[in-house]
Amino acid sequence: MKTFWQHYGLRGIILFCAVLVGMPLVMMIGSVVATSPQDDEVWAHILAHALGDYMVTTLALAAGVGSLSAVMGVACAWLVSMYRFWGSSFFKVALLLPMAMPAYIVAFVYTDMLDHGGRVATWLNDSTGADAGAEVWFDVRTLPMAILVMALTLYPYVFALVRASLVEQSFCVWQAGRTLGCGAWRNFWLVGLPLLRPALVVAVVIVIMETLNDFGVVSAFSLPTLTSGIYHAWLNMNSLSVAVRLALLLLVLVLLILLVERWARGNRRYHAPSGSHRQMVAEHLKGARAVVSFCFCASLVVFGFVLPFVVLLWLAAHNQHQAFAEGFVGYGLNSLALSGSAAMGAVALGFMLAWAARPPSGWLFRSLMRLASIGYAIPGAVLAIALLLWLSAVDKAQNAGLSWLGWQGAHFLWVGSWAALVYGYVVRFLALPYGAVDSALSRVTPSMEHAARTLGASAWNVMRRIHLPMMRPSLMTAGLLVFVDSMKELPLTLLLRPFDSDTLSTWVWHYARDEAFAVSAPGALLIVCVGLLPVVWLSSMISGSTAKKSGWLTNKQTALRDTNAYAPA
Amino acid sequence: MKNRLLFCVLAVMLVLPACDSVSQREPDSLVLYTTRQPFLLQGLIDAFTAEHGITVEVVYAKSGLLERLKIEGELTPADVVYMADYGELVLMAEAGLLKPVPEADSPWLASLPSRYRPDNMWFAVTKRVRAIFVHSKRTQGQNVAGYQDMTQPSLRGRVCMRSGLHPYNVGLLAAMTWHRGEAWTRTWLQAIKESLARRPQGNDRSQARAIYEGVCDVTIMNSYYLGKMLTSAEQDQRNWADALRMIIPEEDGGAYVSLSGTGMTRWTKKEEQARAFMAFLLSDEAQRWFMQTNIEYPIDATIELTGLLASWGRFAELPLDFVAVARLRPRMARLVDELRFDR
Repeated sequence: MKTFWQHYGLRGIILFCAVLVGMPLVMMIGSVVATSPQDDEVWAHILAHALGDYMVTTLALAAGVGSLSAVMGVACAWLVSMYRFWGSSFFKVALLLPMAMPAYIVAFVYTDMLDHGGRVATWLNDSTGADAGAEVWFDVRTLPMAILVMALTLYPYVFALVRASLVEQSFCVWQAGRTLGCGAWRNFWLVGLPLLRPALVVAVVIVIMETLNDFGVVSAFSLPTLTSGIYHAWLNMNSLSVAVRLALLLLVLVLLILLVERWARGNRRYHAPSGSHRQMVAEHLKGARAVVSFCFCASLVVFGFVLPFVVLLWLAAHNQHQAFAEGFVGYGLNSLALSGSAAMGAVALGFMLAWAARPPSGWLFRSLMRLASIGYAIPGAVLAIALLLWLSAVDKAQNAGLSWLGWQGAHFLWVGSWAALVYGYVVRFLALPYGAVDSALSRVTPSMEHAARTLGASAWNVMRRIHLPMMRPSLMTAGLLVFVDSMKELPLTLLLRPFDSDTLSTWVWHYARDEAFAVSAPGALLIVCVGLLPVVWLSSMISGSTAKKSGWLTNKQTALRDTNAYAPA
Repeated sequence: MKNRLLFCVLAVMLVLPACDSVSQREPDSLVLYTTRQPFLLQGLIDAFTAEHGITVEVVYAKSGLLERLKIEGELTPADVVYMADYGELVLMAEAGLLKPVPEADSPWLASLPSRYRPDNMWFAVTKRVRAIFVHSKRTQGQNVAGYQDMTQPSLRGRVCMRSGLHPYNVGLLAAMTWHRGEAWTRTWLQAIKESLARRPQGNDRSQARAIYEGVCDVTIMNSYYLGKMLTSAEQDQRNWADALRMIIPEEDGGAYVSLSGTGMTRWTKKEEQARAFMAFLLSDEAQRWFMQTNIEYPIDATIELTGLLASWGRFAELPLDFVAVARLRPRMARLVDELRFDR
């Protein structure tokens, strides 16, 4: 017999989460309807003079980063999985490292080095004896450079997913290809690529979504994208409403991409033909081929990770005193506490949500649950504006209520509080733990639960003693991911943080904008080091070919599948 | 056991941020919202507290204070605002977020010319010029006395600028438009665009660096940056500054100045203390502090210039209507877009 709690409590949880995630979006759409004539004037101006540039740059950036990282990721995944050459097993781990580098940090390192009068130019001038001014240097702040920088930090998504998919394939497939007369290249084009297609498409979609979300790189390169347009409309033109319209446009773009992904997937099925799974036997490369393969993989690792990391280390070592004087430790603690809270909150909420949704429920609740993971598809800047609108409405209602009750004490405002920022992170990253728990729960067979219940355990006991222990690895991975992603997060943090305080990411960003990146280098270094944790974790998972089953990759994929449900069919 | 400890640590982490937000303030203290930087303000605030026995809690922000005051409404804890750029003060006054200071209660107001205190809603504290900087050697023999001279054909391909959409540049364009009309400004900006050595990028300091590196020979920067670079701890920055010559454009009646300014919030319950703080910002002591620490011009013309400012000397200033200039800003931001200045 079902208790009252089972009937309504669980649905209450789902409803609560849906309100938490959904209300900001509702407010956002509402604010576009209510606009002033000034807003319309600004909008007309943006339409006439800026929107074209925003769209062209945004699309070019997304297409460029998507295709470049696809080429990089597939090529190196293919090389290290199918062949053996000097360093190939090292590259299996090392090629993932750039994932730990937030793109904006790499962007600052490269602009600092390559700019007019940057370290490289200065060194060249000194070593060639040319006097300052005689040396001509290329313009580093261009769209192609931005594409290169972002692709260097985002290709690991492609590498990881494609490699996991390659490891899963049976060796028989390649053998069959070779027996039928395919050379290495033909085997790649005719057999490999079609088989890798699902993993590749998902990875590229993730890369493009990360690109659209970016604000740090485009502002370092002063590129006119939709995200920079949002700030321009808000802070230069004093029109929050126009900023919201641009934000909605960005959201539409994301949904369109998800739609394309779904269309590309179609109804294809990729099944292994037989039950026999033979481990891959990697071919030994020699001579020029080995050298080329090594150089290709090495250049990705060097330019994506080693070089920026060494520069950061060097800068940090030279500027540690000033960094400590600037309150570096305080910002670090802020970041740790915030990301820790976000990870806890997101995991707790994601777990409750997925667990509460376990019994088959109606379409309404299923779609409410999917809503929970839409945050991942919303760019940070967009979500920040939506949250600002929603929280200020809550503040007003709350204070109206308090003064109606005659309460004149200290007022608490949600806007600009740490709690609001944690709320923002949870909404943005809820999809990660939700997806992890959802897929982990699907492996708990109903008979286990039934057996426990028959033996007299309450529903609560079943959760505590059966579900939780079985899901612990997935929960830990998801928590770690939310932790690292929150640490790196920039656009949402910039807009929602308490104004008198900084986190590591905003501190790094402010100094970098002031052409004094060196001062905040220790902060950047700390962000990178924390980011290394999940990378190491991930690499061990892929090699064990368990990535698909326990956590990380499934998280991002499930997040995608669920947000996908919102793409208009 | 280990798990429990971990759980406790995590639980504390979850609760900490929330506690921080509701931490109580001292009842007597003054709350200041500012876009100025800590290094510039903290010493002054300590001096103020020592003199008047009023503690000041400061919220340092980079942007968004206007939005925040609007959202907080009558619940705002802020008593005083001190903005690095007067533009936001004009918007605050228009949005009804500020309260005028009655002249009768504040004798210190009389010393300030009335255009520095529109309707007594806000008050200028310091001023600066958006000056022209040229490479001291490579532009010898070239006559660059004003903004118009920057567009001469011999300087084509030799001009650097930061983004046209930065508030400093938007403010300059607004002053130009107020003074010479929008048509003149549009022509000027177009001519500058055609003279650019590279796409507008970086901040004020990176323009100096570009001149030092030979990318270009002419740029526009705020006057105090020269002082800050000359006195910088970094050799690089001193090198950049040494390559520069500053020209304060006084053509056609004087230079365009920009202001930092302060005001009292509409909802403050500590009017008296707020007035004391604003009076302190205009005192000789504070004015000298700004002159020394940030190389900004004091608003009080009777104060003797010292240090670098003394060596640069006084200049003729165009009597701008600051409120009217600030209202032109959104239009100027649009002009920058229309001419595709940053592209």
